[in-house]
Amino acid sequence: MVTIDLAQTPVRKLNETLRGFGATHQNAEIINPDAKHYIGVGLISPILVRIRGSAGYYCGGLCDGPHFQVDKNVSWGVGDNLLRGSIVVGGNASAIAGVGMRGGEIVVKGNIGSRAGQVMKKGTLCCAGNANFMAGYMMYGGRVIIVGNSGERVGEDMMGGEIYVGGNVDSLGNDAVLADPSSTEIESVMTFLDRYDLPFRGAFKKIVCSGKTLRYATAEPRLRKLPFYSFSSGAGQDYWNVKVQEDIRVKAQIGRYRIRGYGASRHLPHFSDIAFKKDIAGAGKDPEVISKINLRTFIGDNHGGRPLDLSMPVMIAPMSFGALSAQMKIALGIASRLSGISENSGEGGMLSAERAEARQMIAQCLAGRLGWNVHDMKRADCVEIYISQGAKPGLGGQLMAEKLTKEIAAVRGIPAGMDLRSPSRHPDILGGDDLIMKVEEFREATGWRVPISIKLGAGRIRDDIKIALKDGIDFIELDGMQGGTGAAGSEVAEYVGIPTISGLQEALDGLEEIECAGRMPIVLMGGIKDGVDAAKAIALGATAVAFGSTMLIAAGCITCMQCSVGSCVIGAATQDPEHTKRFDIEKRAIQIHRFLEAVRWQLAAIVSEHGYADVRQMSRKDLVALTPEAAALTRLPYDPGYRR
Amino acid sequence: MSNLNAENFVSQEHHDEHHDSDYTPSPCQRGCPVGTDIPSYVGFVAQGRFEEAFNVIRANNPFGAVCGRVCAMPCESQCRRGESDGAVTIRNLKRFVTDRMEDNAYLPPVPVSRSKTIGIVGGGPAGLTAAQDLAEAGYEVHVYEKSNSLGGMMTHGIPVFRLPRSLVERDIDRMLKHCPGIQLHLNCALGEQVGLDELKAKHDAVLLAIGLWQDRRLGVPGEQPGLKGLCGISFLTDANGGKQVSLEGNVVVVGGGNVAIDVARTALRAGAGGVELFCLESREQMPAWDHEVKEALAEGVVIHPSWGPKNILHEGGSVTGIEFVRCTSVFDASGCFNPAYDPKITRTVEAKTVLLAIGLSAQNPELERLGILERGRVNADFETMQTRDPKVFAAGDGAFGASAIVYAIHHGHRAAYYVNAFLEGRENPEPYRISWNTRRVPLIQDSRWETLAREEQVFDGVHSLSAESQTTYDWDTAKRQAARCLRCDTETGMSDYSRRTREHIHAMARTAPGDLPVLTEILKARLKPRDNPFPPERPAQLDDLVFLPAALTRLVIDPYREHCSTATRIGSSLTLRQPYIFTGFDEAPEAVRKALASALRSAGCAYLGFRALEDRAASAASAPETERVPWLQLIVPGRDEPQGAADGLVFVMGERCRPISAARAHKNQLLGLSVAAAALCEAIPYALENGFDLLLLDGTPGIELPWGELCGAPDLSVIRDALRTLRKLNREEEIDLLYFGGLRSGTDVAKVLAANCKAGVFGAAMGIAMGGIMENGRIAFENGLSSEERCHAAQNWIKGTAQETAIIARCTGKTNVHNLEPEDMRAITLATADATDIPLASGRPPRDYF
Repeated sequence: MVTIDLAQTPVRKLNETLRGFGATHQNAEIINPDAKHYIGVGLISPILVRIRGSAGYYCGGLCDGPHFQVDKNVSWGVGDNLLRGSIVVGGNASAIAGVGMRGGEIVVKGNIGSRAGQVMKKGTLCCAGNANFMAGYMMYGGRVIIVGNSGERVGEDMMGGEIYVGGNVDSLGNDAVLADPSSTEIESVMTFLDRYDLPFRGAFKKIVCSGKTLRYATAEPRLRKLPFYSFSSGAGQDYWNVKVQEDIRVKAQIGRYRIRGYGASRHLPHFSDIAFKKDIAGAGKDPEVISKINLRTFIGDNHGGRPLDLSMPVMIAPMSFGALSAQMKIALGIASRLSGISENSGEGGMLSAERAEARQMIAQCLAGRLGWNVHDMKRADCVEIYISQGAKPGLGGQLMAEKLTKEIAAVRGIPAGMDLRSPSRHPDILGGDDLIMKVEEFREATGWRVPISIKLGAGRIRDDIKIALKDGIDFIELDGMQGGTGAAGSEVAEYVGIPTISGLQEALDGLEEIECAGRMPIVLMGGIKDGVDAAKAIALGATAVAFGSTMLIAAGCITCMQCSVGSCVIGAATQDPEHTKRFDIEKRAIQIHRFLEAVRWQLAAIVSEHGYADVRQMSRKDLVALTPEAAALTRLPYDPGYRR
Repeated sequence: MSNLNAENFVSQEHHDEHHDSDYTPSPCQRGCPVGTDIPSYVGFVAQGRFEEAFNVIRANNPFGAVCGRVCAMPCESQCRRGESDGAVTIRNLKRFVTDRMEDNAYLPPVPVSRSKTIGIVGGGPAGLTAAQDLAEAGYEVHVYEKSNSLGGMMTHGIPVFRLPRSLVERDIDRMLKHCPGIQLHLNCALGEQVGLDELKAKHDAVLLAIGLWQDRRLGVPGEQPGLKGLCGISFLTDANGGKQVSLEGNVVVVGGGNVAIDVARTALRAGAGGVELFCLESREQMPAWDHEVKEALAEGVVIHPSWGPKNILHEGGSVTGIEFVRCTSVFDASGCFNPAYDPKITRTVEAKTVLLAIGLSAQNPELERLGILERGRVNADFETMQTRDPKVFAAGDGAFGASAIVYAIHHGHRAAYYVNAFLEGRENPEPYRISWNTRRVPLIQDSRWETLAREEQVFDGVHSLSAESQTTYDWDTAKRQAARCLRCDTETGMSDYSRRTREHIHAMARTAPGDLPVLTEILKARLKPRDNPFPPERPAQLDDLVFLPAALTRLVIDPYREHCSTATRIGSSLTLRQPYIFTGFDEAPEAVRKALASALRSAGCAYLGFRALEDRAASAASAPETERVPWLQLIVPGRDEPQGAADGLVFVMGERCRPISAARAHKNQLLGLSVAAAALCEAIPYALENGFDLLLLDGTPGIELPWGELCGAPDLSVIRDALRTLRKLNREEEIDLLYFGGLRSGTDVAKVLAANCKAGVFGAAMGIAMGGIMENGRIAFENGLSSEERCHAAQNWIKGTAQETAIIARCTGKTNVHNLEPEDMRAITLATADATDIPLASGRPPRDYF
């Protein structure tokens, strides 16, 4: 056992040292911890770490294997996302102990704070004292043992797992019910307590999920889309158009809000209402244009991480394995490699086959921590914190039971076959001050090696971007309300959030207000369809763009908007093996790649036609608004004379 | 050839009769050389509208029945579904339709209306198609056919077991009945019965559609004319013409094209002991279409690829066999036909019959003499279809080489276009364009569309020379197959990813890097701006308000699902479970009113109307007060009597506020005014001074008019002006605002709540939810839903709508819908920003301070 004095050693150095110890199976003792944050974050070896005192935020967070013993108390998020190993806390633990844990054991000998075991999936979280409110909040699985009193609303919105309470059940949470524990279960709990030397004589009550809200009562009817759509123009009868009537009738049938794929469907002010001042219709004469224009873009090195190295200012937008089939994800991975850009895991864990294909992979962390684990972080080229997305900002992801197959559930670490509605807020990011703590934890877990980005649906982005900048984020993925999704309430997709061009303008304004223009790279997404949109976005001030729905279309999607149904006709947005086998990975990957190369050519041709040699020379001066709305939202000059 | 139409679809503007600037022909339609509106006829089949389907087919193709049997189906190879689980069976669905057509499905005759005439040489698919087009344009057309029957290859070349002759005759018969201006001259060969000069003198233009009828020579030792057992195309024409062609023993067919396959399959039926087909090409390179090769294989034809004929063996004037040499490659490095052989590998096959099908050429001594026909082809420019003689045009295989019937039909259309331009004296006419068109056929709802598998037609096997080898679908199968169509012709439902944009993206994904012409076309198309979606005449709309979601700012701790309070209190006494009031059912059938009453009772919502939904006296007796549907009585002052049983009295002021005598019948009875924007200035102070509890802001032409909401977008400024006035008086909290007009969803109500209203009043939306049909500006309930069904629908709709209101509030970070505020919204159009006082989503300049 080697002793490390935290009075002498910075935490970052400590964690580096512990990782080195891990490699050689060397145990460690930490003195003078002084309640410092992130002690032992990101360890993946089964060593013993004794902390002689109290630890701060995220003690033993994002670990797989180590055993921690803390003599005194711990602050927020002890054992965050623990995979294996154990953490024994001699005193009390603050809020969200064992948040998102996926295995191992956490024992707190004193009391635990609120929301203990939030979104946990596996393992045992044990509190020898009393729990504060909402223990087991939204847990998907695993076991919470509270020897004392449960606290208010225990098991609130739990979806799986068990909670055992030795003292009073102060009140049950939504969807939680008391159940009879079996003798084996009680025996197992008792054995656990014995192992940690926690004597208990009384009887345990067991709390489980009642299951009443796990699935929508009535399935959305499998309608084919309305064939010849007209968007409400406000003139006469159009106000009550067929789409409005269909929405009303379907709701009258199913008794709940409608769900569909894709983003806002109606007309919004967009890049198609903006034109280049220069007439570039003749672009593309030069066959060598791509080699003459600098498109290469580095992004994400504001804080010393290794930046993403993009061959052009383009990324693939985050889309989950789950919403998409493994085949589609792998095709995206291949195409991203072939075109030298980055791919993104989206919610729900990283698909190894895709990781292997993609050269640069962003790992996305969502509120439900589905599939989240330290190993994926370590093999990622960038870690992204999802706050919200354009299609359903303010809500969490949705995955209908048809697509939550056993395989997907296993990757995500949750029960199969429910209509999954992911939490809309991170358990540990409730505001700007928590965000900075989370960012630091992630930096510790990845050894400060990779960029950390944030995904935001456009809304109050003028202020959000300031918080992101202050909190040490490397870049923002900003998603306008045109951004797509695999499943969202159709009203939310249609009416929450602001248009992509507004989002960009607001973000740029926010930075300007604090005199930080240009200091936060913005990757813009939400209805970016080609190199033309990309060039306009970059001219307006985006650093890069990302393609989401467009990638699916390039791979053959026919835009039926029924992604949530789970029987995608081309096998891209389904988990049904009868349908995924239709998806020819290689062919589709080439199609996506060709699309991306066409985008590259378009970008180069447009930049070249403007007489520039670098895409970053494009600026607002090159643009003009063709509609009063586009002009008002972007403050570009309005001149319909450029409508060619 | 197969991509005739693909080249310029991205940049070409397509406008169908619906003036839909986003219209883009579907891939199958672009794949079809004659531009058949395939999705429309498939859509009609799915609905059992066969005659309409047939009319779609024949609009572009006079030989629908023929193509339904033997088309090369370039459409199916373009079918998007072909990239996943098999193309839609477009061809067989066409056959299914044409098989069902009665003989008398004639189009009305087109009279001759022009004085000029055209002579067409050759009565095959190209010549007849041109004849029809020109006759439809009003010309008199003379068709000179050297044989004794029309149809060309369709009659003489294609085996009868693949294409029954009655079908060809029927298609031709329909054409002739439709076009009485077509004059036939059978047994009239060019250069024999009639000369080109004569035709030129007689007619104002001549079209040569003479086809290919002369065998190419093999050019190997032993190939002698008159050798018994050595035969070319005549074997096929004889067999098709009903001549005795019985074979025996082993038969060798030489050739890898479709004709070779037809010859082999005909030979099998003509008594051959076995049929072996030898071709230069490898199996993959064989020019014959894959499905035909497969059929031949299934029938027992043995295919030997990569063999070139070396020597025809014969004895005593009869064929005894043929020697082959291994072909190592067919094309040279530059892609030219230049077969290479490995002389070391040879093979000799015994056979009494060797049938050659290595290609055909055009032959006509007169045209050769005139220099119009050279090296087996009529010389013509595909861009004008003209030969060197400007008055003489050419089309079909004879001019452009062997191809499928559907391409010959394309040539016919094309030639007719240029002939017509010539006759009308138009020099340099616009290049011919295939007419693309959609009939906007509704999509049928077959929920299995994504899973249904492709079903092939049944292969009946080898019977006689005349028995058809395949059948078509039964109606159930056809329905299933038609339901598989992705209907790429229909709009996507996404303004951003419209079908036009989707097709552009698909085109980008299918264009090789470096293919500059195509990339340039696509870029040009992508640069084109859309029409302004928000033209000045477009009114302000609720649609143009969006909500600002909570993200890093305005976070709430309580993070989950849809929990959000919707409880609503209006005035001091009216408590609702949802912020919804319903109106407009005063004149609805009693059963509908009863159903609505029952739904509102269970949902905790109120009714607003001139009369209560239920008999107040009776319901008071039978149910406790809490289970009654709260009723706000609408009153036209001077006309209606206030009712003591009402929970509130709402006086209809409309656009003009005037003093009224309003007295509460009991202390809990609410008092309100219903006002339009014009009356606000007077109504607000009046209501405040006289202790009214609520103002009903009416955005419609008048709440008292039946279904007045249906006349269009509501006037949102009534909310704005009410708020402005109340703010100016600083008395916002003193009166509750309700809003009526154009509310369709929970989101619409969320917007109204955010604009400081207490509840939204629904009218037409509930009518539609309860099964009402919009017609003539009203909602009719005549359809046969039961009262229970209507009640259930109403309950469901309120539940779903309440979820919408709640979820929107949740998105903005609220746990109570009444906490929504104007600051949660932004406008996306200037008109709406102006009409609502809600700021635009962006565009405010940066602040000077933070």
